[in-house]
Amino acid sequence: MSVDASEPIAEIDRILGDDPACDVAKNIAKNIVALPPSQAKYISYSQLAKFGHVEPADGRLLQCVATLTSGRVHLLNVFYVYENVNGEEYKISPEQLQEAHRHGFLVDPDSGEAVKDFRKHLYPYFERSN
Amino acid sequence: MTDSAGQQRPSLDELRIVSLSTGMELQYRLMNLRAGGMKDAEEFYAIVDDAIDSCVSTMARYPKELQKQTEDQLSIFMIAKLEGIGLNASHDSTVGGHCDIVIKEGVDLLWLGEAKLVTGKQNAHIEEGYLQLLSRYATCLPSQDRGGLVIFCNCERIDHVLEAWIEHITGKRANLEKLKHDQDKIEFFSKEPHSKNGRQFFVRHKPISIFWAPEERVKA
Repeated sequence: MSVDASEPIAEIDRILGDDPACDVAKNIAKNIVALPPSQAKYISYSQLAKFGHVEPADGRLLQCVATLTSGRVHLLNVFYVYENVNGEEYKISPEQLQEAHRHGFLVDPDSGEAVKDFRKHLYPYFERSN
Repeated sequence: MTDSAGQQRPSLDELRIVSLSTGMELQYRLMNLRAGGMKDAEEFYAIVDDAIDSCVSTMARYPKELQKQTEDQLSIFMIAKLEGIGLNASHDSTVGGHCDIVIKEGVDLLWLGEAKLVTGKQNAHIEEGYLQLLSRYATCLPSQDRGGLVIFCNCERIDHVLEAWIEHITGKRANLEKLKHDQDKIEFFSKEPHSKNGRQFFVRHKPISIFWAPEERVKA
């Protein structure tokens, strides 16, 4: 799949303008569109930081995520991955996440145990939207 | 923890702390909302309310510049700030007409805002906005049952404008129920059954000052 960067970049420019996150978002967008399809389905937060030339703890990255996942730009979809104590990873569905927020715990897909500190074991990941 | 490339990856908990320390809490909450499939209407409306508060803070810093703006220009300024936060905000012509501020998330979640510019206690003008919001634009379907009446005030004492407006609208709308009048944040909340389906439509009535008239010392 070939993705054209000009449209999302024009939208990023329009929305973020002179915001300090604007150049970071545009760098991320350029890298995202250049990814081959096989690598565009499981992009970590750290990868986004690398694409944007910032540290993962840089607040501008959260601004970029909000912009790049918005309906206007819609370059990325976000999902969460749960890693249990054994290092096994599971993609969490929106329904599982809603339940976790509602009840205050996440059900470990492997053991069935309630994980109360689930936010410590969830990691944001992204896929390029079509 | 590391990702597949061996890089450190932050957990959701760590990103929450980053968001608090960098003023990006709304963006963090938007990420959560979107990862959850954009179904949590309560959180969506809470994010919108906080985003509007953020706009109010920004606008309060630029009364001299904003005072010269028209109603449409002020709405567009507000939309730009909301978009800058990461919300899907627009001036939309597809929601039953030309609603001033439309915020959508996913397929279902919708918040509508109608803006009016006043230079005093112009209740009839504000009422036009309220009626447009309620009867022209609102669908009042589930997850689409809240909106805002933004009153840009190019005059003194927005608290007085709001008080006069509350007295006016509660006197005219028999089915309108007063929910909360926050005299510190200077805002008012109401609900009223919608004529389309009888469901309650909730409105946040929010005056925003764009008044700028610095006083000068009177020489003795």
